[in-house]
Amino acid sequence: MNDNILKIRTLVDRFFDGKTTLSEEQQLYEFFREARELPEDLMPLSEMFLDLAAVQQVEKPLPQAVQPVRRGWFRWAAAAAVALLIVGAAVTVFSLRAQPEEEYVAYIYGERTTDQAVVLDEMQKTMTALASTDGSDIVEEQLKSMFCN
Amino acid sequence: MRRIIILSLFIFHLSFCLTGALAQTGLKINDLFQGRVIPQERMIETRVRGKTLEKYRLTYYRSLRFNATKEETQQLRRMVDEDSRDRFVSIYETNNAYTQKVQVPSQGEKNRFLCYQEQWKKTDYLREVTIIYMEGNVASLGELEELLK
Repeated sequence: MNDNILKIRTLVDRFFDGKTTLSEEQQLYEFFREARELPEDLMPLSEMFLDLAAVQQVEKPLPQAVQPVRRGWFRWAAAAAVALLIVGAAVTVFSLRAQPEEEYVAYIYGERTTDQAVVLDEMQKTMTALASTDGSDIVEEQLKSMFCN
Repeated sequence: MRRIIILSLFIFHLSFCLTGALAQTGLKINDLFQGRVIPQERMIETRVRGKTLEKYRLTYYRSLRFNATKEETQQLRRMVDEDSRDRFVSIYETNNAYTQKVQVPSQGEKNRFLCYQEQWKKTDYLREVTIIYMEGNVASLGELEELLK
């Protein structure tokens, strides 16, 4: 105990000489915080060291309660979105360029043909069927159905 | 960063819309053209693009012709009706045919038309269905009908 008091006295002297290290200052603060009885010469210093200890505690960086959220996934998502954008744009440009100026294709019950004559003949058939349903034909059709049955 | 992602996704979506503008996408009847309603083996499909269509002021012509059951035609009519919603529709119905023509919303500078026709005989179990999708510079359905005559 006496050795300890002696050591503290030495530290106090060094403290007032401005020669203490941080670790030595910590020892001083700890001593004054925990001491129940103090030698008379050290008693006037108690209040000062307790205050310094309190200030030092406040200055200590507080442990961070909330860790910053890791945002790595966000960067990945952004990168993925940009990649999709590039792919989408490429597909669009490719499709627009790939669109043929001339196309004659028919699938006849699943069989593909590019014979222009066959394709145009089929187109003509469907167009004729479509064009033959104007109003005059309907009137004719209705008259036939009314009077010719 | 969030803005970049949202913007990227928006542009990506837009690029898909532009790709869709190449054909009859955006319409309910597209399911039929994609072979999701009637298998391709049961139909005759015709696709024409090019100079042949210039006299009709069209740039793209696609038709499907097949036989369908009454249930199938009911489903097809629902799809055509869906695409005709809030549009001026031309319908002709006789004892043995039903024709519906509609100018569907334009895409870009191209006007788009959809024609649906069913033909049947009293004795027939199946109905002959013709569906035509057209794109071009024709201003209206009336003008198209005149050109097809």
